[in-house]
Amino acid sequence: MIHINNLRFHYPNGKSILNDMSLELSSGSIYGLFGRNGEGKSTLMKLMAGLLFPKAGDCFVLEEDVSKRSANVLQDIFIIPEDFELSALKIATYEKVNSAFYPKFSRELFYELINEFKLLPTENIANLSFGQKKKVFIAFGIAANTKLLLMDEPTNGLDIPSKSQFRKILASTINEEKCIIISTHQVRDLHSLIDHVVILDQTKVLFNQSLAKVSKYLWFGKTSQDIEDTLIYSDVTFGGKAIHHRKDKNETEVDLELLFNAALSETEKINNALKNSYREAII
Amino acid sequence: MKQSFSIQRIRDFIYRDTLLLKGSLITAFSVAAAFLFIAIWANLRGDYVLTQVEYATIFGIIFIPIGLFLTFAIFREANNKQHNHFYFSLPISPLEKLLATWFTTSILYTVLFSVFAMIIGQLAIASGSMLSKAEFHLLPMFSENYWSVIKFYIIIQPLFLLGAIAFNKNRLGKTIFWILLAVIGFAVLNGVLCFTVNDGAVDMFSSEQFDSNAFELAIKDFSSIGSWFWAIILGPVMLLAAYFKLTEKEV
Amino acid sequence: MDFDNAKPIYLQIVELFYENILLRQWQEAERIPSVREIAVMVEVNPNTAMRAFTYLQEQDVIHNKRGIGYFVSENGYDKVLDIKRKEFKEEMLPDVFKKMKLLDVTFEEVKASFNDYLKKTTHEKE
Repeated sequence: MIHINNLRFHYPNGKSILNDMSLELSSGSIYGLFGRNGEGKSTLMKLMAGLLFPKAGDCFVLEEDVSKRSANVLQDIFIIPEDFELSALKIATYEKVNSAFYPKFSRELFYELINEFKLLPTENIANLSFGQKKKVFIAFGIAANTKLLLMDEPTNGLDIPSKSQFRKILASTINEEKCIIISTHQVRDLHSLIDHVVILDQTKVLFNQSLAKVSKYLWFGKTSQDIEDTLIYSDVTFGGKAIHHRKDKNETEVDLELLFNAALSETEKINNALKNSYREAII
Repeated sequence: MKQSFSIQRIRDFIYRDTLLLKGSLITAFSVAAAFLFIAIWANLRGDYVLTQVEYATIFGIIFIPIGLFLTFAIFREANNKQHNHFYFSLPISPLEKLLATWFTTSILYTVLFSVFAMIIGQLAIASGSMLSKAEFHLLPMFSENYWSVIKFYIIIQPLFLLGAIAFNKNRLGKTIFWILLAVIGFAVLNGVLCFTVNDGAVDMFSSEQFDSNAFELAIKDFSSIGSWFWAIILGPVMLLAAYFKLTEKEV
Repeated sequence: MDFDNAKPIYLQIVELFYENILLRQWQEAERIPSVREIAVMVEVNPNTAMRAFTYLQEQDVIHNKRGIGYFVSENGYDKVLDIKRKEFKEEMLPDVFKKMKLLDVTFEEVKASFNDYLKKTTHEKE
């Protein structure tokens, strides 16, 4: 779905955001894109959507150089940035003038979602709150049925019931053909949906693993003394939570916050644990 | 299978542009209606008739500024930090986008505004004839002067189209600044050339001879061969430049 | 659905299936919701829901009829009962025994408590 090769990017007169960065993402997954503030998550998404151009290297989406902005590729990409405004039109007019450009757009789905979000097609977008505008944009993005859906902090601004609706919508929309990439700091909002984690740090991809593999080889739980030898990472500030080699222990649910902290501070140990397990597995 | 160019998309984009511009269009056309009414009435006061030249002048005074205003308004979305992500990720190629925008702001606008001005102008004459001694007559619409106004607009509009997409802030100011700079540059170049050709014999800033001859020549040039030259160079080259600007613009 | 952090989500979905079958909300040989329906219902990635379905198929609790959907196995109820009993004996009881020993609780005391409990629940039913 996405092939990024040796990509470099910096803003005019700015420090390097991404440098010699490579990444492959495939369809059928919901990717969680994580990283500290300013590590280039939003920038990477804009590069994937052809809104920014690499200074070096390239970014291919569906086998085409996305920076060419050909209509064919753009038909299969939808991006919802963190900060945005929508044209001051009625919701129905907004749909009418924009949906024509997306060949797979489902009007039925759009109005179903608008209805689920308790909005009316006759409402003018100019009079909506930010959270409501976000709902309109999310509804449009989902209904556009693009193969690639990029969302930057999608749950920001959504009220509590909408977060649950949003999870249901995502669960129903993802399929083998689609790739959804979500950047978020609200890990709890979406952890049950993300099945692959990519962590950016210091201009590079620090960590890139499917959660199925992580939970297969790593064990998440409370620290106890008798299993000190399998310890990979423990975080005192998290009330004694720790990551161990799983070995033959019962499988546990991945604690994304813990994994994120571990990947930042014990990058090598974590990556080696997954790599070594892989070797063990193939022997 | 691959659709790299689609008339349908251009049509959709023209429709989208017009709807997004709805607010600006209503304001601009209301201003134009008021202006046309007042100007035509004022004109009828003297000789009770609106001549071709008079109408074309009134028309040009309002047609060109409003056209340029709309040319800038149409790129508002592309230049707004919170809107431009959608503008640039919309599945339509830069070429299609530019053609659509150019069509909307030059051809479509010219047709719409001409029809609009014709209706308002006729109404103004009709009401004028009822309120004064002026007799009712048909609006002298399609004169030679009218067509030169249209020609002039079509030729210079791409320049402003380029300015509207190329600059980020204070777009109109910057565009006019660059045009003035270019015109002055041309004038200086012209002067230097003239000076060299005439072997330094002409004192171009005081000589009456230069004034009359060169000026007349320049005007003639612009109106015949000159205008074609400008039409070929200015329009398409500016559109091409605007296309490249649109291609390389990031959010 | 609220997930507890210790157990993988797919196994928590499996528990949900067990509960539905034990409570006879899903009858044997009856069709159950699809992978996507379950995913939407409990708000998880369909891949995670799929793992639960695969796991249950391996346990012979459900089976897949190609092109139609998933069904509770003919003897699904007994299967689940076996699984849960085994789990109770092997995982829960040792903990209870450990506590009994530690707190010096006799088996007779437990039996009395259990009988009380039975009485109470049968009364409630009446």
